[in-house]
Amino acid sequence: MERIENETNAEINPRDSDGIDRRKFLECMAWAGTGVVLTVSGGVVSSRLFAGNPAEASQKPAEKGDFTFVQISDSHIGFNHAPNTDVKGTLQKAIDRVNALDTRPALMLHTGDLTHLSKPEEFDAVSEILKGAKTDRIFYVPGEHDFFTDDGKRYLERFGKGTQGTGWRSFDYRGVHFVGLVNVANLKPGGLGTLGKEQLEWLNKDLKSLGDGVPVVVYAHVPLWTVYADWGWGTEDSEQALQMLRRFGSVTVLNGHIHQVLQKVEGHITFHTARSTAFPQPAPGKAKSPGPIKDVPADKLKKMLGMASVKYVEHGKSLAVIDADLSDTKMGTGSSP
Amino acid sequence: MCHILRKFAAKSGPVLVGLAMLGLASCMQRVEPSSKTTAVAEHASMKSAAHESGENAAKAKTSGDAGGRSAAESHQIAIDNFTFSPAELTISAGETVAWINRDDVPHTATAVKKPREFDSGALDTDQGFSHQFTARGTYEYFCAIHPHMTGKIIVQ
Repeated sequence: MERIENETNAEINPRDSDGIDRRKFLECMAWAGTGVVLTVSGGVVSSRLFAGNPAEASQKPAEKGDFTFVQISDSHIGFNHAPNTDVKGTLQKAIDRVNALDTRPALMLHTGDLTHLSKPEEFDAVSEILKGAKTDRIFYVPGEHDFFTDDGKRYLERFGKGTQGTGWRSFDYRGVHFVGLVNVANLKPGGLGTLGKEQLEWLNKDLKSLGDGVPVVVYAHVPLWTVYADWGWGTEDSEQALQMLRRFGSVTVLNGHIHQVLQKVEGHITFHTARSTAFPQPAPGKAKSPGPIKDVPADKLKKMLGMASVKYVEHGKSLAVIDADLSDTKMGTGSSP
Repeated sequence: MCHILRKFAAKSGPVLVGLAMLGLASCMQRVEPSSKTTAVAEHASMKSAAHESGENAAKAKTSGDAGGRSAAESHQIAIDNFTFSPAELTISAGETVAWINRDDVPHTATAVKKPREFDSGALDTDQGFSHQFTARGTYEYFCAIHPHMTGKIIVQ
């Protein structure tokens, strides 16, 4: 494998911004990962350091209705090659970071590829490590690595509770509507991810009764926009889902699969992909194939793995997503080594 | 060895690869075709060249049948860089195709048409799978984990 330089931590498509109030938001998004909290309230962007110094550490407590949740992704338990032969260790580090958050996250989302080969012991290890996460609830969607050996039987046995079909579901938390979608079942050759007719019909019914003002968070493994079709980084029928979502005032789409942070804003929909806790992948088209970036020195590896925390501010126009990498010793210290 | 063949295949096409494979055939361990078709084709020289670790032996998918009969010719398809090489392979009925995963991530070789003629299941790095094709036809297959990877076996 040739040496690949992947310096990109976040890519932004400013051409997708839709107005002058978005430009500042996008500029601020470039700071993601350095511990800056962004909230958008009534269309106005404001930023403050997220417990950046000890004086601010005793911040005003979470206001009524506000909450934080976290996204982790692509733990790939079972993977054991360059650049990471200790994926259990790096997953544990991510959980330690979650547990060090100033505000206890209300819930955690795992956006898939929990395991590398869908083996029982791999699923068991994920459950075991995540038991130590200081959060009230954990919700999962599968990745193709969790699904391909047995059409998701083992995954659904363990993590399918409360879900339908191939593992989709929705739930409400403090007025925010969360929807978990599965786009890694019934994959067709040459294709991208797929949601399928049954799931789309369910989604339509699920969203029907909601008012446009309800904030919606959608989480699924494969990106719901086409990041790079040649590598299967997209979902062939996601447009049908996005059409149903466009009427809402605030939609946040959280995905994994590509093992790097990408963000995109399209109208009221903010797309965000999280880093993996196991290994990084090259930026779209920057390598021959989307396999793991192998020659990453150990000290640099931590910077390429991570998780994201999402802050919901009641009556805010959108949710603020903050990415952190595993080199930060404490989330929100405001500086990375 | 596989890398040389891959470059050769890229220039010369599947027919010449087939001829090259015939040359290799004598080196290859004969595989007992079983009704389950989940047999391993371990190429002895490739094994020693490519693997120091020896985990390969433990991970290989074996048929468990030691007897060797004069099986049909065996053709190799290497999986590397999210690509099946050669992507299209023409063989004769009765011959065997052996896939070997040289990539850093697991792949599968899964027949598209259901009921599936073959499905390798997860092949981790350095794992192999082989299938004997007895009936003429065109068999499209793909990787069930990375469906944009596709291949075709034409059995004449």
